[in-house]
Amino acid sequence: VNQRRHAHVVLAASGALTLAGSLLPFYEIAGSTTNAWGRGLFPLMTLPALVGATFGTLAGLGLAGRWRPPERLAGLAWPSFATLVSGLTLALMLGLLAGAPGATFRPLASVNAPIDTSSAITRGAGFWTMTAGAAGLLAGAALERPRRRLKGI
Amino acid sequence: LDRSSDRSSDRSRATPGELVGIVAGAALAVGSFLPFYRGSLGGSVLAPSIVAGSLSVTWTAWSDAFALFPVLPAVVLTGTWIALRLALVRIGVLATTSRVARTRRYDVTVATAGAAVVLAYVARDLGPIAPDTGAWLVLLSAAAVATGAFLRSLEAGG
Repeated sequence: VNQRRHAHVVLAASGALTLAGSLLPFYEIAGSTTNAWGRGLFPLMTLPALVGATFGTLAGLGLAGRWRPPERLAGLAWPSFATLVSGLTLALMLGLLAGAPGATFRPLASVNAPIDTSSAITRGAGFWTMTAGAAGLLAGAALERPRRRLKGI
Repeated sequence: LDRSSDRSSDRSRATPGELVGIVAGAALAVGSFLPFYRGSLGGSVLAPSIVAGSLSVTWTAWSDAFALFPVLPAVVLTGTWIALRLALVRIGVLATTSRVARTRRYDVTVATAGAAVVLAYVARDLGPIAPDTGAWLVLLSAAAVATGAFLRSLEAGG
């Protein structure tokens, strides 16, 4: 019970962090900023915030004793489902970190037009906050998994 | 032993869930090489340095632009992997009880998440950049991969 409570605290805090991060500047483009709900970013960059809000709300309700996780969801035990979804959320954030946020016209490089406007785009505090929140979601979901006891202990 | 897996492996013909998964995974792979986004250059917000003229440019799911790479390729590879795994099990190269084949229990969640990500890419408002044929094929295929996974979970009895 204590382990589940810790997991819910981490999930609720991480969910709130992810949602709060979505309201902060996600990208800074030529002096102006846009958050995860802004034009061109919604709904792709908003997905982690929606996952965080859902898990955070459920965990908060769980802490208040108003919600119990289902036994199974989509053919998986709840802790496995939560771990998988939060893992995919973190993977999405890391994928967005690895890729070029703007337009890169590489096909045109061969015709003497090597333009890369993505260099003018930098990631803002919202991006990093959401990434930290997604990592927290994964940690919280992993905490929900029952710990295996080592043989002989 | 997993009784549900035996049930599907004993059939000589592929189930509807397997067929949908295999065909959709193949279509996903094909669609990823078609133009995903199309836009025209010419003094737009994308390329203010280009003064005049209109030049149509396309980006596939593999392009390193608009945050397509590596997220969308990962979705495509996952869907293709699901189809390949189904085909390998169907032709008997992979045993249903093998560790690789048992990853099927994650299919519904992973494929649904993949379809949601593709939908988000298609639904973005990128101004002069609009989804093209590849985007619609990838979206339909990703949704079909998820549908196939759901059908297989029903065929396996839950």
